[in-house]
Amino acid sequence: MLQFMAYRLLRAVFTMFVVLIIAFLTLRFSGTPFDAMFPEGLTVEAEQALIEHWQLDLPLHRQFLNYLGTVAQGDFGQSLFTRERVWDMYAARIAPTLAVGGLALLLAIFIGIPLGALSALARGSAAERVAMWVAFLGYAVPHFVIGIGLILLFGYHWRMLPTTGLDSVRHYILPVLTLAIPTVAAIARFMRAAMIDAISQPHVTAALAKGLSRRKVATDHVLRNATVPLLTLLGLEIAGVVNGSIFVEAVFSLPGVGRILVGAVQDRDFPVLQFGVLAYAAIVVLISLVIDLLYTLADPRVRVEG
Amino acid sequence: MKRLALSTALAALLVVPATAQELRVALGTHVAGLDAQQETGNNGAPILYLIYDTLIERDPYAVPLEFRPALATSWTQVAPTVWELSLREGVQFHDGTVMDAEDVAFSLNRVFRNEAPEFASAWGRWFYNFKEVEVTGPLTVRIHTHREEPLFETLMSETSAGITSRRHYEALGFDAARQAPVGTGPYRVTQFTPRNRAVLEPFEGHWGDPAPLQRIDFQLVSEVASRVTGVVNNEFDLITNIPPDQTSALQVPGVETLGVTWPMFHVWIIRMTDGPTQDARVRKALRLCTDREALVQGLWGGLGKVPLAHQFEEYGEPLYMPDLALVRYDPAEARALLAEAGYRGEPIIAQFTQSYYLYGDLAAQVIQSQWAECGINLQLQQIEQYDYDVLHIRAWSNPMYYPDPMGAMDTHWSKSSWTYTRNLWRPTHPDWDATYDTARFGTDVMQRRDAYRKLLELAEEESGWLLQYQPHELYAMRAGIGFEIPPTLRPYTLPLRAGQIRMPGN
Repeated sequence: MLQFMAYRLLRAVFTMFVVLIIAFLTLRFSGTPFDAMFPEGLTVEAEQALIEHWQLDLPLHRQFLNYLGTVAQGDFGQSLFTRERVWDMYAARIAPTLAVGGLALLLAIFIGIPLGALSALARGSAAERVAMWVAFLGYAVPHFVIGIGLILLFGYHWRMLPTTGLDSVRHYILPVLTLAIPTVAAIARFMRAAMIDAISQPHVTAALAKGLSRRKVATDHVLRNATVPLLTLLGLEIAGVVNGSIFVEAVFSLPGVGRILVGAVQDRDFPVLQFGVLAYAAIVVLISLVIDLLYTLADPRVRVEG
Repeated sequence: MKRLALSTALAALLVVPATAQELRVALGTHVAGLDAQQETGNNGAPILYLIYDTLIERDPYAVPLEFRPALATSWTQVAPTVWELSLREGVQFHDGTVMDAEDVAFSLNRVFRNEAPEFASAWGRWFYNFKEVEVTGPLTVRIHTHREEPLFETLMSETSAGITSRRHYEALGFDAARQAPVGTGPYRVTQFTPRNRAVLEPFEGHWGDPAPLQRIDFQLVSEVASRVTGVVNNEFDLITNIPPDQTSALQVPGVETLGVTWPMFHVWIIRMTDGPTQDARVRKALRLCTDREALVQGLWGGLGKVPLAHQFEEYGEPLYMPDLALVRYDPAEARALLAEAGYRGEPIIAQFTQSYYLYGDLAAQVIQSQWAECGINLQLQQIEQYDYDVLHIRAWSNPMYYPDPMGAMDTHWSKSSWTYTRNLWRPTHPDWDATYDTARFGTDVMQRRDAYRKLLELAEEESGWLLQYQPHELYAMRAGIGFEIPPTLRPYTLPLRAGQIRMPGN
């Protein structure tokens, strides 16, 4: 078990290092941030002074080594635009992202799992077909389309709910819904497939033949087995919610880290974007690690094979 | 139907309205810092005007310009390049300290001396002729210029000449101080998240008329649809940067709009130093082959304005010349000029970054088809970063920063402008430099006006610019809120000082 986890951990560290290199190089090759910083133009002298100030005139390997050196000391640099420390920027704005993302995920789990399970049990019925059709739609439509649609309906036409910021509990409703809808759909569709797979297993037939009630078979034999592969999906969906927050925060003007990231991409704000990519990658890697761990607990065969 | 109306009305009540004298403003772009000298972009204009005072103040609504005392109570030109100013006594900064001559010297010298890249933009645009502020007493200063400055009052009343506290910057350092601005204006900043939110509240110690609003909350709402919904849904009292195609979406009870055709040109810079556009006849042909009326009608629904020359009505008499009509549309003459220049369809490359200028990418496609009919091969490139070794054309705007011909000319086309140092803009006419000099530094206003007329006539023959149109935008606000666009202040300034805004119920 220890060896298994050590291997996974080592792989995670290697992945993070590769992400760091890719983020660093991609940004450096995409150009300088000065056109975004001064969209109305900048003199050659002023641009040169800025290049020297931010040490963008150093050879690439020197820039990378300098960056690694400061990161190793826990310093991720400062924004080229606002001059805030990058760590402080993200720390100050992580709470809204976590709150909206966490609520969306909870909502998706509480709706998606029962919806998928019931659809599998009621397979072939009209209700199941409608539920899956809606799930397909929710899965296919991007976050920003759902977001704009909800804003137009609940904000512009019906004037029922606020559509920007997070000043009150009611402000959370639309962004959480927007983020949750595709996740509900994904979980429900996966849960249904996993349930159908579990139903067709011989041990389920055996349980029914022994005379156990359908309810008991469904909860103890089908649902429990279907939940194991769901762990993998949940890991992916958490990553999906993290990604979705980028769009949702832009559409609903939420003061979270997703919005920082969008701005940093538009502006080519190197330090902010490098940290953002690294942090998002770290979240995905961490989730994968946790899922791996949970999987080994839920299914010992994984540990043996790993 | 009644039930629907009732439920809609009840639902509307659920959205919390602002308090009586609070103004919630949704901006399309937000500013990264609040240093008066560093932030020169449009995104800072609505906020900086409210928190900083200048030594001399413009009447925002007087055309032609009128000046009045602000942080300086008097100013005298004691020598051609020296002005002496007496400062107002007892003026408090937002941190409670009292302004003195050292603060004035600190605020302005960092720009005048052009020593740091942070202030290069303000220096090149407004203050390149200013040498230094000399402290001559606790409340007196002398401002030295390199040459005699006919625009002294005009430039010293720019928001970019706003005064801040030396001690504040020394205590916090530049990076922190620009996030926690300290001015002497009627509003102080109580909350600021860069490029996201700024909350302003009245500054009780303000030396002038008190602020009319109890709270102003500037929030970034980058999506147009979200801003429109925000004002319709009563989440915001005022929204900015709304394109004219949203007019119908804003025609709802309780919402009013204010359209403004800005004193600003959307322009294309045409490279004068290389490629096919090096030939003045080709550049003139590009201008003659551009049907601006079609652009204004097609893209702006007729609400933009077709320019007749590089000037704005806001200059007032005598500097604005209503008879000047230099911009023409004449494809036949364009074709003749191209033939004379020996142009054979060589590619003319125009580069564009992300959609910074409203309808800019659409305008480019229209112009491409217009030019094709004249035989001009315009190639449009969407790029991440301008390549000044490759491009012949790039989009730009020429806002009128102050109501004077130089307010849009000198700030963009002087030899200290980036267009010159980038080797794009190089006027070659033998009369250009002398004429420009008179238009910029002439001490007689009529002499300056005549020189400017000649400058524009020369420019029409050879210049590296193409004026497209004056853009039109909307403000939308809750019914009962009212203000007038101040013609003497730069575009996007929000007039929310005493006597400038009317709120519902007063």
